[in-house]
Amino acid sequence: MSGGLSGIPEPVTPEHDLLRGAAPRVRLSAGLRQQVLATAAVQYQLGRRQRLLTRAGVIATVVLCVAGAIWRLSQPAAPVPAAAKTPVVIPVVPRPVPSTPSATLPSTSSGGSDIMPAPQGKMPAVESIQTVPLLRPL
Amino acid sequence: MDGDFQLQVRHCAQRLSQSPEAALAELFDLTAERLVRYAMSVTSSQADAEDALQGAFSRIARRPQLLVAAKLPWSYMLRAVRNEALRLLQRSSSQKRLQVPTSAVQSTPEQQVLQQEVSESVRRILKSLPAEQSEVVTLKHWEDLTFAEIAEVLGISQNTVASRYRYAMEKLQRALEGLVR
Repeated sequence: MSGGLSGIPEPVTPEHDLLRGAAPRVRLSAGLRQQVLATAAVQYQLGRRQRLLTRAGVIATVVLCVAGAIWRLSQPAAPVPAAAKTPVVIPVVPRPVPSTPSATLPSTSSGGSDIMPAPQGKMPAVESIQTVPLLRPL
Repeated sequence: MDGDFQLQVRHCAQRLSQSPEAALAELFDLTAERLVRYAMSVTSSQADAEDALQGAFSRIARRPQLLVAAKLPWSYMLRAVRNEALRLLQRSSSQKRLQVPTSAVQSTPEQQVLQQEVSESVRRILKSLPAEQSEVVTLKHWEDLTFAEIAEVLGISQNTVASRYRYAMEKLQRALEGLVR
């Protein structure tokens, strides 16, 4: 009998003999063997099926992921349809509208030479609508 | 140290991956009595010990690769039975008394009776030790395990095993003085 941590055989004392002699001899119940082996066989089949299912599940998941990635990468970049363009309102800072020659403004000069000329043509729009194409979704 | 027995267990365990049902049957024939004896030291009941054996075999059958890969298959089996026995103890606080049928010894009836009485006394003294100490002594003397293997079965360090064994043997030597001739 190998003894302690050092592996040096432990001396066998009378107490050791007594202890060994006191080891009970077990007589197993009748039918225990058949019962245990039958249960073990069922459990083995269950375990085997579980392992197969687990492996199949993992393989299917990996295959689906790879297929999805390949399909996604193989798609050409589709042209963006015109309908996808959304009008975006860009505010335009209004230019000061010149009023009528201001007779009301106090004139610092003596002459009327600094009176602004009357605006010609149409007035500029206050704001304009410009269409900007949307970014293509990823 | 019964190295042959452990070697046989290892061979059976390795055959589990090729022919599981035959290997399980062989493993049962080889180990069942010893496993039940060990489980009885935990449960104090043969019925519970046999249930523990059945549970352990079911678990081994369900995942045989763990036993195949085990470094010490016999220790692994003892640990599996111990875990089942402890689970059973937790589930039902069984109060069944230990009833151990003893085998017929090749001796006179008087000697048999005397031997039986001595064995009963030793088992009683062993039972009187703290559970963790008697378990170490049981594994050491009944199952012939080394401290390293006991540490593997119980999931504790070798130093703890050695100190529990030393304390147990000190008590046992005092208690067994009268029986030693």
